[in-house]
Amino acid sequence: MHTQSDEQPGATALANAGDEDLRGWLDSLTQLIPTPSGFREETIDRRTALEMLRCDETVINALVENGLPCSGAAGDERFDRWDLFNVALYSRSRRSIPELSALVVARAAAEKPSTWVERREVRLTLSLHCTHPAGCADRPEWLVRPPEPERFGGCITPWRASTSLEGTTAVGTITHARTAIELGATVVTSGSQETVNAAPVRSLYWEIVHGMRFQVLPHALALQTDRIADHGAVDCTAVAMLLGARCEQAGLETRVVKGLLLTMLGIDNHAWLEVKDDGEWKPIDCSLAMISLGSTIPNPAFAQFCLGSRFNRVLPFACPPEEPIIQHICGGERRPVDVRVSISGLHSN
Amino acid sequence: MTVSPEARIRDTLRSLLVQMSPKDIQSVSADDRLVEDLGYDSLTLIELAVAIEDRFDLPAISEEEAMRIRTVGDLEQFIANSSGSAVTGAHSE
Repeated sequence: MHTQSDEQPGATALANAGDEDLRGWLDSLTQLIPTPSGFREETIDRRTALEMLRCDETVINALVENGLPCSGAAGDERFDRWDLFNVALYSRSRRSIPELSALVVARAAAEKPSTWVERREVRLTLSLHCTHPAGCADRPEWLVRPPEPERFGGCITPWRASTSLEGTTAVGTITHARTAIELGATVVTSGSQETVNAAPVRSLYWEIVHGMRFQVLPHALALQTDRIADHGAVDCTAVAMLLGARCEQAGLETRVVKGLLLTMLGIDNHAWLEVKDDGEWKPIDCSLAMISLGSTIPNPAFAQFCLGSRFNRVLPFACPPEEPIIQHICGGERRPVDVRVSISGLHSN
Repeated sequence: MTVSPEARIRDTLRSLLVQMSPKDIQSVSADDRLVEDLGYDSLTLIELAVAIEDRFDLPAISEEEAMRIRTVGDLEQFIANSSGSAVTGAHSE
């Protein structure tokens, strides 16, 4: 069966899924909110899907049979990359990359509250690869927006690169290297436990955290705040912008901030909202709260923490919400870039 | 021949490390470093942590614990401590 719609996929053979692993995948499929038409990119073939999901053909066959949206002939299907990512995210396979990324966050959230605000010093490595299908073109440039660790009580050493750094401009550090580059720095972060006192913000926060589903979205969709509320699924940017819009309607001043998540499997394009409360900018991180609450080890105390506190795994950057923290240009055009964030040498106290 | 719990941990772990290593390796020793020698990166280390928890029925390995473990011997000792079994001779082949 092949569908190409916005409808909720069914799970006709769920009752027959005897294997627990397969059941996890099919349960996830029943809850999937597919990428809506107009934003879908059904370009992922079976082989790539297998690599993304880190599963075998049995799983893909079952997902297709049970309504995973796709196009193309049987055996030669094309899948939407965000649908695949989101099915994997809740699959309980403990193997897929989306799930492992969320697992790392959920585990940090499940630790003692003191570990969320202690001083941490880590060696941060950004591995950047040009993913232009035709290969990295001429005049390559890599632009990294300026980090602002002091917002969260931290600091960072200057970037060291696997190739020479060309310098810093008003918008960030630029370097020139073909195909790939590695940037490293030592980062100190620390957090602080606070809360937001404004009653409308607190109410809106819990309404969104409990009422929406965390999924990864196409960036163009995440920026469409009017559409997101009806869609029902949000990623970190979408939920920050949605909460921001609602807080502004309630008369509060807000801004969306972007940054890296410094966990073992770091996230390169995290975003959260900051709201002016009692004259002070305070962060509100709905998506981290949703990841914790949606995990197998939910921690309501962490969700409470995300309403106003600074989390010591976050490195803020000076970057507008509609722009990526790291950009790559080659052949005179902006190209897709694969960013891997890793940390090592953790010292905490 | 009776296999001691310690030897069973060591054999099971080393088999897992060979199987999951991104490098094509046939065996590991206690002094092998997970990243530099066996080719594990952040993703495969997390996969390994999850597999170890499942295989040895251990509680979740924290990020801080995981980042302190550098060698196969460190890992064997960690599992032994966590599961209450002493791995003697963990640093000998």
